[in-house]
Amino acid sequence: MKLLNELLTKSSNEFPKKEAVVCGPKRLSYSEIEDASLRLANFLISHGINHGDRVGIFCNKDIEEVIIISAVLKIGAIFIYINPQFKEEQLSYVISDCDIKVLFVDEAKSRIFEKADPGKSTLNLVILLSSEIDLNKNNFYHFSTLIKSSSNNKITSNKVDESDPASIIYTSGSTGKSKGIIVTHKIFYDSTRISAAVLENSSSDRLISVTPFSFDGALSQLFTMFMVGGTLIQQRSNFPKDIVSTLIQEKITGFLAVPSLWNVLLQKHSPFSNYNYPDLRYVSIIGENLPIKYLNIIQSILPGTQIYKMYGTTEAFRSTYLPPKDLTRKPNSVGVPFPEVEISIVDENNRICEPGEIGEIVHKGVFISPGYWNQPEKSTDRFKYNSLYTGDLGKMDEDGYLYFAGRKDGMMKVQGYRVSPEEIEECLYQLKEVQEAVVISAPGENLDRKIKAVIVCNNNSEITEKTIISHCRNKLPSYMIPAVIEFRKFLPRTANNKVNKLELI
Amino acid sequence: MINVTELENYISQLTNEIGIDHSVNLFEGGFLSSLDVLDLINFIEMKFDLKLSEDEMTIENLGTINNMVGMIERLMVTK
Repeated sequence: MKLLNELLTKSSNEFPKKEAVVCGPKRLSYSEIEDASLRLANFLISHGINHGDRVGIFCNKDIEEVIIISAVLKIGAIFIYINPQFKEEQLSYVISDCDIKVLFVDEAKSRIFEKADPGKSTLNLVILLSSEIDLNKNNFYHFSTLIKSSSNNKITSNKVDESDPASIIYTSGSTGKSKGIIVTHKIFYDSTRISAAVLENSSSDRLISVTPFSFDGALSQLFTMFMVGGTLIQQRSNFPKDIVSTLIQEKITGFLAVPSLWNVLLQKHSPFSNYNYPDLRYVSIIGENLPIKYLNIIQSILPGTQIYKMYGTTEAFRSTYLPPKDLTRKPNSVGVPFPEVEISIVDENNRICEPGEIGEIVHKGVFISPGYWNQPEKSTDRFKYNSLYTGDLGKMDEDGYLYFAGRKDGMMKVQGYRVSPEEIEECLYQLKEVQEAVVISAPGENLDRKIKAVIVCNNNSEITEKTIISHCRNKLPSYMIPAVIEFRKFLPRTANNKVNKLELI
Repeated sequence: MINVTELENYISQLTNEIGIDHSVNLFEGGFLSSLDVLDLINFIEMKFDLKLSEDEMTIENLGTINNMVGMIERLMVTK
């Protein structure tokens, strides 16, 4: 059996006094995490939360979220780590889409939670991570109080199977609404086991966790530390000086970062290049392509550190990695398949492409999700013949190295998030002045591509860029807000009367 | 004393929210994201004629309006 909940129990038996999770001044050992998560698990069971129920987490990085995830896994329930950048609309949508029964909220996020007003949903228990907030409502609890008052008996009632869902990860869908990707215990277990072998993780590792647990890569880091008995350092602030301080003071050995985070670390106000990082064994870069220019800068600042580029989609966790030894030889490639994974490139007739020919990337083997939550019809398009049809375009070279070539469905990657142009367009169409709106990804000044919105106004009406941006700020997570707004009298069209997006870049 | 209203107005414009509590962490509360950091720094440097050193780029200094004011006042004295 490949159960995630057993990883923590195993490490708490082997390394009871060892630091498991750190966040700022807070430090918890393996036995403390095990004890607190048993208490929370017993509390949840006593409040009617059982195997298969959905539990939401909406907070900033902290030590408690690790306890919550561990407790949910112990009772065979399913955790949904809600992207901390979500606004009230997306939060409400996720709560109702997967019928969340319990929601954990921290003080900073309580404002958005109150605005979301999920009164009519199935939500029947709210647990506040801060004791600063008043409790005048039924079914609201304080985390610290319930931990103290609950028992730490072993959980025996809820039998968990490796094929049970452990989490649902929400990501933008091409229709504009987020899709929940089901991730089982076995997928997390296999991905943890295989990536820990590739990255040679051990109990002496201390990984910094900067990206939120709404990224599968961040969860993989957490479970990897549980598997090997290492330490996870939760990084609350994304300010460059704060990250640099943590890297040095906490003697970080492994660092997973999306290119937009490198953008923050390499910009002119960052002290990143002023320091040495002798403990930093590896960095892994995932989420978007990082131009070679920046790879070279990172390597010059971190001469003793191994750089792993990785590629994957949340529907199949991780597909390929570029071994550090190949970085100078094949810097544009995203590498070779992970052990137990097969990658092929197919054309529209499902025929295998020749080397160098661009087609759809197909993933076969371990890590494949059972499908989308509540959307079986969408699942059949993507999950077929025991494979995942990723919707990504790519090509393979003669040596079997993969090169990523964009999305088939026009989806964009921004700050590591999959972003649907349609979702932003929907938001723009809510403005009565907007007659037509097209959203595209345009090259940015630094590493990131920028979101550009092209607007055609209704006859006789006008709207300012400022009003459009304000509207988007109210409705969308920050990473979806267009950086450039361009007004046009009409949109360029192709012969088939489709908008010619290439002419808009 | 610095003109806090200007800073307040700028943050209102950036976040599209009026009357944000000066002790609320703008980043953790979902008002601002890490992408706003550069804009914020440029505004402070220009408006108050300061040069922020790399070591000032912390959430402690720039997370809340109160702390921004504290940092700006401290830097104005030593300017």
